[in-house]
Amino acid sequence: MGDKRSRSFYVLAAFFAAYVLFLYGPMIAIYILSFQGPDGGLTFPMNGVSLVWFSKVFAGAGIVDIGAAFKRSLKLGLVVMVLTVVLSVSAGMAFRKSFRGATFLFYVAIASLIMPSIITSLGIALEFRLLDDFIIKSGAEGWTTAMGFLPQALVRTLPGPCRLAF
Amino acid sequence: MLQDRKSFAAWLQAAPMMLIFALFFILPLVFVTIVSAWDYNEYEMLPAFSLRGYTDTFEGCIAELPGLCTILKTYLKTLKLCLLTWVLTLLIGFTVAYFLAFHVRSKTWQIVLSLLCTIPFWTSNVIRMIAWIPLLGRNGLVNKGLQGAGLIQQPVEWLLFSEFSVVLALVHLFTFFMVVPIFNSMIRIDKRLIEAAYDAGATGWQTLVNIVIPLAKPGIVIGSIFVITIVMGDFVTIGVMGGQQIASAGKIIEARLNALQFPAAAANAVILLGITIMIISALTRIVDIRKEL
Repeated sequence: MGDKRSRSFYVLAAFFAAYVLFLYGPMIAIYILSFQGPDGGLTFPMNGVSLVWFSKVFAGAGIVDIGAAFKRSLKLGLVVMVLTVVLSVSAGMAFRKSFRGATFLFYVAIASLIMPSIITSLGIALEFRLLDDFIIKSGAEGWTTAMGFLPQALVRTLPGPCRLAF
Repeated sequence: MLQDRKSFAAWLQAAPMMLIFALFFILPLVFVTIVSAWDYNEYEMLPAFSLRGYTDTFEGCIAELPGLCTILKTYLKTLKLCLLTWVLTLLIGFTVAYFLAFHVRSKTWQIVLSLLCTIPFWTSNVIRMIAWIPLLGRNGLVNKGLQGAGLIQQPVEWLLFSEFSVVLALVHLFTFFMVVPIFNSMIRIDKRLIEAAYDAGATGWQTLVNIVIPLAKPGIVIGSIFVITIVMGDFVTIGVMGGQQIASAGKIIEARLNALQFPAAAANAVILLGITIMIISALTRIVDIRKEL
């Protein structure tokens, strides 16, 4: 490893550049296609250039109300972010000292990261469904349905910042 | 006394996270296991012990011998996709990590180049896989380019909605999960070891095989675990890029869920979980995860 770049450097640098192109290429194609003319679809070559599709999105031509959808996503993102940061920093501080069950909690956190998400989602869906059934049976109706989304997002994001807090 | 109080404080600090994991990770897994042994009819689950979820899943497996039944075929297909994705992400990820760790000399450039690879993760998986469609379709950029160059006469059909496009999208989405842990282990390798090998007359290839790969093994294993578990449970990528035509372990669960057959879905989840755990425990034999994080 002298001062001069070896030949392998250039080979690997080219490989890296190809990888970055591979990462960005398809997305760049999509961004370009978003300026497609009014008659075009998701294909090249483009049928003219226009902002038609953007105006259609903002006019709400689709199935969903775009403004409300954005607001909901933003709200969900904010709630998950705040909860994740607070819980993880707190748990991270706990890991600096030692406590009973620290190893167990650590392994649970790792397991939650690598658990196929469809299994956790299915479990949470079942959990709320059973809770729902139980509540309907005991007489109080209609306040738990469709709450299952936030916990899933939380379990997905929790371990990350926790690791940073170590 | 002071020790006790300190430990109690630590426990309080960890309690919220424990609660979240208990309620939304461990408990759901318990429910999946329990419900997998419940009975069901066309529209609801019945809380009575029955192994119908499992027997329905393996329906025809014995009758169709020596041919393979649907579930075995599906799992073989999933394992095949998983293996292909794993080999490709490992090769690409290792090379990229090697370049970043050993050939990029300044810390600043390492950070800049890593960031460059991270930025695509700011958008959702679905958007990044849909982006392949205009490139790979029958009238897509690749087919048009190949035809324009005179290499092919007819558009190539297997580019999109095929196993090829599924593996391509999976590699595209998940290679970076391989790069990060491998880079992390490589950056910890003492540079003097490499110099010593060089001084002792080792070729670049010998250094790679005898020093870099053994010392980067923890990163390789962790990256492999991430990629394999994601691909084993995946149903979105395989669905979108396979044109909803390719069956996979995750898609079986999704289909059962859509049919409201919760016990059958849970039984499939338990089977998938068992297989995933077997793969992971085989991999962790090679490395102690706790030591590396």
